Amino acid sequence: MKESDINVFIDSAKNYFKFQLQENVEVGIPYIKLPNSLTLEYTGIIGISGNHKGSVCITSPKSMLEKIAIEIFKEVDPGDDILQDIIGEMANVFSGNARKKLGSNFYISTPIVIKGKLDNIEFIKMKSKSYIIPINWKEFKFFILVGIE
Amino acid sequence: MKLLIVDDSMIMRNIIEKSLASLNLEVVGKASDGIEALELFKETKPDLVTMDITMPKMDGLTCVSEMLKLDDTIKIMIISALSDYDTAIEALQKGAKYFLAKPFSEEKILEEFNIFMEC
Repeated sequence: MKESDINVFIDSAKNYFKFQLQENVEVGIPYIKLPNSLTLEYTGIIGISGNHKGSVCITSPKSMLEKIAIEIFKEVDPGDDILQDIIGEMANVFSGNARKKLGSNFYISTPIVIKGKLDNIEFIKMKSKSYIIPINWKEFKFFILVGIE
Repeated sequence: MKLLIVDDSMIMRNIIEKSLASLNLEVVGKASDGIEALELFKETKPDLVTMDITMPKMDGLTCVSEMLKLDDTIKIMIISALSDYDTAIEALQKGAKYFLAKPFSEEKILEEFNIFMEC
């Protein structure tokens, strides 16, 4: 994957917030993932196969998902299942939309959601660099991790 | 008219139902994968179906083919994050009548669904 292909995930995230949530986000400068990258409280993971191989992860604080659930999706007292659903769907849309640029041989899995902070998330056996895209929405910060070759 | 909603995301199923509420459709079922969708399809005999693609157990495009074997008059709208041209074409070739890419606003899905119902 070329470094410029990172933009496709940035655009997907912006479009998701703009069209699905009617919100704007501010995208920070992407950087190369270093060892010991933390995850936040909920992480949605999409496996990638086909012409590319690797994964795309979206990691978010619980409070952000709760705010999305309550204020945007109008869920009253959202439980864990709702929060996991939201981040899983975000990961699905961010990755699925990437096919528009990366092509139909960019296969995506159904999302896996992990609850709980990890001290580190590593894209093992990756020959190419992995990237982190920081994104700000209101008072929250979440991250897209792209590890694809 | 009877509507069956198929998406592995609970939030998406709720959004679709809420967005289309003004059309006074009867939502006869909501399924989270293709296998469940087929069972509900046989049970409820809907007139319209909205179908996600990337789902566990059975994906949406396979489910479309299976539904059309049971009822070749059924109208199916694909609603998917796989927003590339090739996927849309494949869905239509498999017999879906319409394709809407995620993400979408409530206004957008309502507008597109009205066109879909006329197909």
